[in-house]
Amino acid sequence: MNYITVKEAAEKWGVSTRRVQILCSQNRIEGVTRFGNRLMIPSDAKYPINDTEPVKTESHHLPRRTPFLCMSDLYHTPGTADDSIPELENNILAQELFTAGIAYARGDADTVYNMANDLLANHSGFYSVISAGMLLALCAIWKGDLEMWRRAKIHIVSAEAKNDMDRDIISFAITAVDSMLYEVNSFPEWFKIGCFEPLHKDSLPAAKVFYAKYLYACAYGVATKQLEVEGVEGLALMAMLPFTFEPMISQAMADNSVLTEIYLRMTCATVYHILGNKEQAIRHIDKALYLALPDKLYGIIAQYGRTIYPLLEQRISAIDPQIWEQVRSLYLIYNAGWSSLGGKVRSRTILTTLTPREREVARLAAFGMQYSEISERLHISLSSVKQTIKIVSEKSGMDRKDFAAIL
Amino acid sequence: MFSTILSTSNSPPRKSPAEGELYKTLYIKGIKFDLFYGYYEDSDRHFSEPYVLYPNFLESPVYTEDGFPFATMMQEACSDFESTKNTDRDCSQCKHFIKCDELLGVCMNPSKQSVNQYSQKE
Repeated sequence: MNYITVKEAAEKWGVSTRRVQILCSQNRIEGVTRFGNRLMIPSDAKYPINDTEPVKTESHHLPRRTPFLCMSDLYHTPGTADDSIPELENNILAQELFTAGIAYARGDADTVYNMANDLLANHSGFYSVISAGMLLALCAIWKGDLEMWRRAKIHIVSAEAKNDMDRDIISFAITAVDSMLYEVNSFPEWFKIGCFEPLHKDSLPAAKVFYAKYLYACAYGVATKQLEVEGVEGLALMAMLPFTFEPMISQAMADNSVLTEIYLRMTCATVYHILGNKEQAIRHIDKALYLALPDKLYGIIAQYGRTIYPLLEQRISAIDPQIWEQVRSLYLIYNAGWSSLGGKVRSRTILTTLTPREREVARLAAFGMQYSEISERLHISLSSVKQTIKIVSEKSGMDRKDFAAIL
Repeated sequence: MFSTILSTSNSPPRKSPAEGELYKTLYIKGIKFDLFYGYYEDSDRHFSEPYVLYPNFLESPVYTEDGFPFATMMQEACSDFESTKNTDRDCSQCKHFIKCDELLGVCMNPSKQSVNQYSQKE
């Protein structure tokens, strides 16, 4: 058996050495072995396909991946976010998305807004449109801009879906942006039970983050009596969340998914804070700060000022008061936008008046599916589909083609 | 435990209607309509609560006293469909359709007025 070095493999496959190292650490290259401290790769080893073939400069499309690029493969070590960007030099589109994702994590809404609009103007591929739409929606939260929010979601649902998997990705993308406003009712049923099978594996790190937010939103709703769950009241549901979150955090650590771990830890800290377990809350905050501060990902931390402001102030000020001032400034902006947009969305949402079946039909109709397709997808009669769509139209005052705006 | 989240809503859990239960009685242009809960097809039974069943006026036309046909909003539009909107081709989008109550309405297209009036009296 002949072996080649990491560098030789990188040159052979047209990717960076770092990329090869990551693939080796994930056991995605067969036959890799160590000679002393050096990784050696069989000379006949194949670059793992799995929809992640290396993309050359002439490609105008992302590799078949999800919009959550910065949450998965590329960002494994705190302090290396900016270093990761040049690794995408063979794919300008992916580079732009990763840059935008990091900008968002830093709370730079203006950069995110400009990049999202550029993406929408210059790229029409499926993942490009969804990615840009999601970035625009997240930016809308920071700015409290309802029209931007609606426009963003319409972009997402208008992405050209060619099959059920694509539609599920659209559904997930809508879910993801809704989760930022704690809109629980719009989640697809498969997401509610933590089933991520419809998603590409690259989406899983991000899916876990949104699922954690969803669970938290439900528990919070129950605790504040905004939601009614038979047999459950008060903090009972909230008390169960650590049993789910801690394993998810452990998995994120094992996957070296920096952003995923930060988000999960901050959400978990929020739960512990509500439950009165300050020690555990601080444990997670400190670890999240350890991960986030090297790359100045203050935007993520700032978002949680809405729930654990006193703890954040205490822990960050102890590290560096100037950093706390920056986080605090971002928190004020985010909170204003979140509150403003959340109020506007909830005041006009008709989702709370729709039955689960009506929501599901409305969602599929918003994706542009025809009546017969919806009928087949949901295993209900055509008459039922037509009637349900008409009911949703009556409740919302909108035609079927505008359903995206109510999702 | 989290499976209970599937049934959460912002309003108290409502009792599911039973098949055959009366939803509402409508009186439209002198005609009485009883709307019951049920299923259009057997396939609907597996995945949802009963629907409010609307009459199929294409199979069994019902007319107002002055001979205009009733129609449901989701009824497939006929060849006389006229609409200024680029939207679905169903009766609710046609300029001749007048919505009356719930999803029921009347087609006021003069060409549809029946000479032989048929009406359902109370």
